[in-house]
Amino acid sequence: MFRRIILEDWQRTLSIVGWVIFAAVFITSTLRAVLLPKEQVRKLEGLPLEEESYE
Amino acid sequence: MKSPATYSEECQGKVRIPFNDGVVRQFCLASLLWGIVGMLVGVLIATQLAFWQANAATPWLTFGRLRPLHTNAVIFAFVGNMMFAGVYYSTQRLVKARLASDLLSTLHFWAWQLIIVAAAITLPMGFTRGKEYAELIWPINISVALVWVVFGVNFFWTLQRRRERTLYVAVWFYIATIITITVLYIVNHLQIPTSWTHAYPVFGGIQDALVQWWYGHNAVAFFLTTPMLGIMYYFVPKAAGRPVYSYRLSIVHFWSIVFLYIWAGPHHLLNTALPNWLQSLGMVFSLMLWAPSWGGMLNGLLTLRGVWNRVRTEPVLQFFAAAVTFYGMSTFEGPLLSIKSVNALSHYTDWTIGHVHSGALGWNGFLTAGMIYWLVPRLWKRPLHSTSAAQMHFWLGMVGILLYIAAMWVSGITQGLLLSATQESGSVLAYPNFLDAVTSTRWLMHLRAFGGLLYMGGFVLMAWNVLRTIRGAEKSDGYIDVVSSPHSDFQLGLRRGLFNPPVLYSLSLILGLIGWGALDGLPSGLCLCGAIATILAAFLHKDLTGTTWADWYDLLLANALPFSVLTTVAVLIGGVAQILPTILLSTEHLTQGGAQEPYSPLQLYGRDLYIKEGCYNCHSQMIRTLAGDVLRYGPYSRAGESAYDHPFQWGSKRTGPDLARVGGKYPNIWHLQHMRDPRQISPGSTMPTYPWLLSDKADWNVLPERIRVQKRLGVPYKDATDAELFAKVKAEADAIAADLKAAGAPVDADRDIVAMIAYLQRLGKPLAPTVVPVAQPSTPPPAGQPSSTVPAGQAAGVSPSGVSQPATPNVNP
Repeated sequence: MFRRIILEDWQRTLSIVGWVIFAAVFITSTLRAVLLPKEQVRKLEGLPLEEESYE
Repeated sequence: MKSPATYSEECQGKVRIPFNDGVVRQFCLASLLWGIVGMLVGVLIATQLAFWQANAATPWLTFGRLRPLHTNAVIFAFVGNMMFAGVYYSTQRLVKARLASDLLSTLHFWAWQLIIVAAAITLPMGFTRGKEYAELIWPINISVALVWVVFGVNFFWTLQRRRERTLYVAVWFYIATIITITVLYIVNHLQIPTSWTHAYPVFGGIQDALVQWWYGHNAVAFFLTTPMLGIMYYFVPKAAGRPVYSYRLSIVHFWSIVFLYIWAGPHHLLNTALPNWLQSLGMVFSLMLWAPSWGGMLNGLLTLRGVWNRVRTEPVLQFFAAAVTFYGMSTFEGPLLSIKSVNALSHYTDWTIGHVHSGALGWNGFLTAGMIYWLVPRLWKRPLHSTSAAQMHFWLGMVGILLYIAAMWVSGITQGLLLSATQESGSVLAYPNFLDAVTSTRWLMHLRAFGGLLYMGGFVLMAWNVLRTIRGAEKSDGYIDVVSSPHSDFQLGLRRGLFNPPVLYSLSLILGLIGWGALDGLPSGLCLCGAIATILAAFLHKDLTGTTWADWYDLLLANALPFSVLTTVAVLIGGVAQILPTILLSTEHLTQGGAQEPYSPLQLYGRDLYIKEGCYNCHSQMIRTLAGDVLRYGPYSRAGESAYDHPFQWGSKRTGPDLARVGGKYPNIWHLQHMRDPRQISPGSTMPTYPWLLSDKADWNVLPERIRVQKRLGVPYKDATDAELFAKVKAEADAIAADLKAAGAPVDADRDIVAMIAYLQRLGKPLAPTVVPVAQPSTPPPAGQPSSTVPAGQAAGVSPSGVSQPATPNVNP
């Protein structure tokens, strides 16, 4: 006979920890993104568009 | 080899940096070549599902062996080469530095192509690890790891030499790709070799399932998605001539994707023997992926604002617009399929295949096409040979994709509904014969093959167009003039890069939170206090030193090192939190105190043959906790039943029925006839014939070493000399051969078919006698029909809570 694994309660809290960490990262990165100075945004978004040449 | 420094030359007070575009050209052409090869194999195996004769009764042409070749070719050869081209091209320009080493670049390219060739030879020969997208044998695994290190060194060395202070978001995605794939690949390929071409993975059963789908899901996430997003964030603005719609959104997109994706793997194992908390975790994090995925998709599409008039006429923009749209569609469908109740319908059906292909063909394939059409005229300094042909490619591909995924949706939903349908208040299957699901969807297999053919035709047209463009053309390398030196003050170095306030506070906070969740009692409380203290300390530190949050954030991102450390932490958190608790469970716990016996040596040999022939590509060994599954196949599978399965064989698709409890369901002769000619017993079956199993002689000499490795992995085989082992194998084989002879099919005991039958008869019978009874004269039930008896050893079931309950009987209406 087999029994389905019964895990201790602490493993269930990993879901909560995972969510809390994600929420912290999400809030931090969102805040930083929103507060990013305009001139820095312009510089960053312009990087792919900088002129280059071909030989 | 010239040092990169020698390429730089002073030019009017500036430094001219010529880029290494030679390796980009090589990767582009290789992507095109292997893409067509991968698609050709795809069309062939799609045809095999419509016409079983296309298997050609040849071992190396069967679906089971070619399907891994198709997936590996498309993922690692087609998309892989395209990814390397895109990463190398864009990184050089974004960081204003030539690739650090020409030697490493060249080594990277040729070694990767050799690996692809090795895979193309070994997979059809049946050398496989039996794990999806991780089939390549261990010597090739080591080669892949080494080449990946070469790629990583070349990439990070280039970042170290950069002249641009800030890392553009595309480079973030590349860093996440390199780090995550390294972690995933190493963990999922831990194995102990038994020979140069064979090894057993260190994880088994449920642990192997969890590790495999943590890898499998994130291979999609971090090989087929994050590098593509980096490429999108570089090439779409480049082609549109406009900056990305919202750089701020791209920051949120990146961190959300990296932190969420790594948790979503268990959605591949919903309703299985996986612990429920893990299933819920995988489902919730998958659903959360909706937001960042669509944020990224909208960011890409809105970048094209103001240039939609050009989308009508420029193939590059057409491909990019369609690719980003397919990214949105497939990342909408993915979380949808991760909802447990939707997954109950879609899992093990063609719906999943359709989902995968909307991502692979629409997102990856079209992004590749757009990128190559954009690059070729620049790298060969000549306009594209035919814009009309490129547009024709677009429409061929688009129609091909739509036909393909529409066929798979209809087929998948039909299969799901048909196989789970019940009547008589849910106590009886409405369609007890599994073959109903095969025959009713066969016309859709034709449509799918045709859709794939159209899509491949588009790429053949593209290959012709590219070859005509580059024939006789002059190769052209880009360059840029910059003023700063490569070693500017923004390079932090190892010590400052690792040991700085934001890195240390971030790590401390994360460890505190993990400790709070993972520990009990006082230690848990202390960890929570530590996490809170870390936050307070960070605030205090900031105020005392006059630093701003933005300074710290920039410090993290100004240098690749702290950024890479944080990305690694993000990836490891998800992996460790999901996998470690299950890994720590003892085998004894899983098997309820050893109630599961190891496979006999002959059964083990048969199991290795089952893996060699790629049977797992069409047959699952996991009866889910769903009424349709239980009524059709027997009591739902328990985690312990596969505890000694290295690798696990739960499967991901049911083109044929589940085999978890097939043991004892049919007599030996049934299996022999079925392997020799499936349609003799199962009219309408698409299964290939396996006549060579009846003629090929088994090599039992490999068994002693395989048993030794199994024992090292914790499988409780009893000590025995080689002679005793061979005697046991022979006795078991002789009994099966005698049984076959009595049933009218004499076959030598040392043939592969005998070992295969031994294995199949063992499935679902953990304590069953090795040799099944001699065939009865009565007619065996047709394939796909449930048997009327409960398999031995499964007379009673146990509920998920561990309370014994009567077994759910198989029903034979």
